Amino acid sequence: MNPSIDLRLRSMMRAITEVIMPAVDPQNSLAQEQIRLLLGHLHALSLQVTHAPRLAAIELNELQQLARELLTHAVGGPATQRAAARVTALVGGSDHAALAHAVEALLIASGEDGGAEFKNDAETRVLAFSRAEVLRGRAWFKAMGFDTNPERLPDIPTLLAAYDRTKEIS
Amino acid sequence: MAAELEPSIAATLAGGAAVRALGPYALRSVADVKTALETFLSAEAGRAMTVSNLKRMGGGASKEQFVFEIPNVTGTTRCVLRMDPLEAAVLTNREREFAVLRAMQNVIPVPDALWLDSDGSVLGRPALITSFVSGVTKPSNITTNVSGFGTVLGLELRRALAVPFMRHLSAIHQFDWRRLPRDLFQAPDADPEQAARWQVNWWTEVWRDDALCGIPLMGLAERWLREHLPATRELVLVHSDYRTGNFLFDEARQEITAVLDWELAHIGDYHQDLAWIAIKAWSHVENDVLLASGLMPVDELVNRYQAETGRKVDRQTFFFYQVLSVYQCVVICLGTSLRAAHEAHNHQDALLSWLAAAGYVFLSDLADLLDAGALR
Repeated sequence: MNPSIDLRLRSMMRAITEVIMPAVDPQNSLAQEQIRLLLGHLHALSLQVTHAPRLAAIELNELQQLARELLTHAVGGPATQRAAARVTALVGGSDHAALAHAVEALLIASGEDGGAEFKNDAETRVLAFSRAEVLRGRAWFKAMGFDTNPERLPDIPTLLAAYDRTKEIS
Repeated sequence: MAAELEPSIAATLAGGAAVRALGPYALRSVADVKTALETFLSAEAGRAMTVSNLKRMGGGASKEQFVFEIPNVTGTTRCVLRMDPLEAAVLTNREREFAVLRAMQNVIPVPDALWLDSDGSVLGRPALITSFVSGVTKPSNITTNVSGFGTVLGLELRRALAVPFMRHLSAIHQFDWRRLPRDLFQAPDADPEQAARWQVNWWTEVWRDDALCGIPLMGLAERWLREHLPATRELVLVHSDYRTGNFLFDEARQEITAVLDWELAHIGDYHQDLAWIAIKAWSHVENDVLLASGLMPVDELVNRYQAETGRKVDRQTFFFYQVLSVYQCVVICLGTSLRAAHEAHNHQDALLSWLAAAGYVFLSDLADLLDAGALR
């Protein structure tokens, strides 16, 4: 649909840079900081916007897969069983945030009364899952400049293409 | 059942929960703040007080901060007003911050704690007023990200600053915490693990209250923390945000002029400050060596601390507090900061949602630590 989101984002950045920024009082440090943050956000958004639905789908799919794997091995006492039941209720749905909360709660409950084998298995699986999740997050927000090794991170299209290749192989 | 917490922290968190339904938070106008300040200061002084040159300050990572001047006998005194919005990157108590600043006067260089409006009954929101201290948080010729991330100090400067940095840390930890007001600071002395347990309970409770989306790694980290609570050998006053970016220094004299940001201070384990100093985000790597807070290698930090204080640094305890510190950073970035922005409870939502992105860098560090800790 025209005007495209990309065009509108670029137009906003140009207006901020060329019109609004020079008009902001240089002595107003809060306003100066805020305007730079807005430009930074818009730049990051311009890199992310076309890929956001794809990333959300990947994130949900990966989380559901982790949840199902954990459920397969979820042995323990009442706390673990209650938390596992909550994961079971959510794993087929599309509420990413709620499922993620439930998986987190299952891991905490496993510390109370989870079976030793389940705890070891969960640790291995969650660490492997988290490595991939964190890499996606760092790459997604690379433009925001917090990463100490940005040169080692893929850009967003490369990240998503690499994910697709992995899935084809598996 | 409510988690076992330091009672003052529990009260602060309960106060935060009470404001959750309020909002959105409106940025205070400079004119409004000037009127409120003059009313407050006049009542405190018992005579009419006039505020001049009132200006907003940048930084502060989500508190409202202003600099202003008031008349004194010979001219004017420059002051800083630090005021709570409804929610911020961390939920803390201005009364505690004021009390610890007062306690640190003449111990190490800190801003003078001048006035407190603990409940915001006059200033509109809880606030404290300190003296203004000159100095910079980073060399003036470098550009960094928000909140001190990515600060790189040159060799000469870091050699010069490392000395007072360690001396002041030692003085904070030598301070007799029994002199702090007991109604504001409680000591975790019921059992050896209580200091660590209170900290774990504090930050896990904040995460549960604030996280918009769960993160499996945070669940694994909480489990690990609860299973590895260390015994604290000696309780000290912990600054809890002691790092490059949170002290002012004079560039010409290469001397620390003030240690800032005391809002997280508490009685606890000295390893907590050491682990916090060494967090990667405000450190940098040079010749494959991590310089803690950009000042010195971690081994040197530990050795200097031991030499300065006579205390032993236990590597397992240090490691526990490294995990807790990084966990806490994730809570601040992806929990409380995002929650405050989500509720429109802060005047710097754009900053808070920017800061949130750093959460993935901390999560990466957390995964590294838990991987290393899996065999412990």
